[in-house]
Amino acid sequence: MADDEVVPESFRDPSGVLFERGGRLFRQVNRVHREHYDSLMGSGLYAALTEANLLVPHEETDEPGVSDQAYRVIEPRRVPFISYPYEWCFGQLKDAAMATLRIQRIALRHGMSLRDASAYNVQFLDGRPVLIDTLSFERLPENRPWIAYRQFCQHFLAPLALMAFRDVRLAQLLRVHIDGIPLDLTARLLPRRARLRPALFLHIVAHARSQRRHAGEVVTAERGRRFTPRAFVGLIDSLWSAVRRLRWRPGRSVWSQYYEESGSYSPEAFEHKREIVQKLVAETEPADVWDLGGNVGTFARIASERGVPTVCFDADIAAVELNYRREVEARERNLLPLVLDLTNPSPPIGWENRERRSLAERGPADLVLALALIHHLAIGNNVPLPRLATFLEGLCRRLVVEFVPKEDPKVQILLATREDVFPGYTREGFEQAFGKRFEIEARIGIRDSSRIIYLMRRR
Amino acid sequence: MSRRILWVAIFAAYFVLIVTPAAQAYLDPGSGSFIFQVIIGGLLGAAVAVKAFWQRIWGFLAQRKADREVEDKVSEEIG
Repeated sequence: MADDEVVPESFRDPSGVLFERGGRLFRQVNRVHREHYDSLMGSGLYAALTEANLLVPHEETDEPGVSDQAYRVIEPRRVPFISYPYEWCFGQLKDAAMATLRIQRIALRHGMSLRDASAYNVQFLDGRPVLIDTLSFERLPENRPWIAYRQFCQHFLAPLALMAFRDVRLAQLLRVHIDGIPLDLTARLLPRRARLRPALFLHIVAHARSQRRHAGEVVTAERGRRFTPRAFVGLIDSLWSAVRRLRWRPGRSVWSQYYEESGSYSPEAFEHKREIVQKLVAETEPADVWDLGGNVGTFARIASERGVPTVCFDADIAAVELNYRREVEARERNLLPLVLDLTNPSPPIGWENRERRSLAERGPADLVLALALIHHLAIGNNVPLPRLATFLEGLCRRLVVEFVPKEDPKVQILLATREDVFPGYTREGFEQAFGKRFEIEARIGIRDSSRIIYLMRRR
Repeated sequence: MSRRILWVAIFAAYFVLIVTPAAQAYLDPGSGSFIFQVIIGGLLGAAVAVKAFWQRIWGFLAQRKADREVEDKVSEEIG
């Protein structure tokens, strides 16, 4: 069918394919995977995992497939926003790792096992990590080691150990190494004290050594069958305790203290800003919202608490971590905090640059909030206002944007260490630049402040 | 801390004794991970067995303690 669009992320998997048809998302289960799919559904594993909110639920449909390989076509529940491990904070990656191990434990009890342990197969749905690849399960081959062990270590254990023991920013290595951080690299980067943890020594340091030593060795069928079910349980237990013990606590970062300490707003101005955003979100009734530079999610929650799927991006991983913890504690369902540096947003990566999508390719959002952001990009990062307008035009249909004039104390701080080469950075210049790309629908001054909030619609 | 060092020593000894010598160089980390699991399988299986053994001991002791408490209570009530 001409209007079918095969999702490029799923091209590697011979057991099925993901495709879109008429605005709906389907997954074709190929005949070659029939036995495993039937086991998943028939063994009670599917019911157990969806009950525990660990696997994305699906419906079996009568839709025709996209090839003659089709055994079944299923329609999984759609995840509102696909995010990638290099956009997650420590807590999100850890929760995704724990979810993967919980799934594997439950699968083992049903005589099945995960064939992949890719972090990309986990997505956040209703605020919790769920496996989205229904075709990841296979009937457990007798006495064979875990086929996804290396992938689990590279996708989860290695980045978590580096974040906890070396530096939380090393999560960005996942952006370079699409199949997880190589274990020999991880072993070199980990400090000595990390090696004193038996499980980390075993699954990273000794594992990396063994990879080097046994690379290319032919695994005979007989040798590959020496892994008892008890050893399998021991492996998962050991990985579980290794991950569980890894911790990272955000320090005092500049941004997460922003609202609490800074003199950006008087209490009255802050309250008025909140009222304005509330009013604009209520009036525009967006289908989804992206809050760019959203810090710990104060304004993003105005949308998410109305039931709108909302993504809150910030460059500061500590702010994202705090935001995520707050969300988990309050069991919020519509907010997704993510790490994103707007001056270098997530690019398309992987095979043909099409395996993982860029930020813009995952949009446009119905509404973007860009509050107290423009001055950081325009003055802090020398991005001319017309380019900012073009960038935002590519991300949203409607925009709520705050203009912070030069006389504002925050802008003065930015200007204190640089030459003022921004003569066009005025209210008029801003309206002119953005007016070319957007139609200005509303303009509201924040009380007790020189800042202005605009509502704009893409031309 | 001393327990950790002991563990690392056990692992190290295990590797010296059991890890097999290097084979031809065709670099696929996949087979290394596979063989590694077979190598550590005994250790992991033993850990599960030890854990199960201790759980049984603790369970038995806890049960005995509970039984004794019930007995004490009953004998108290009978007076």
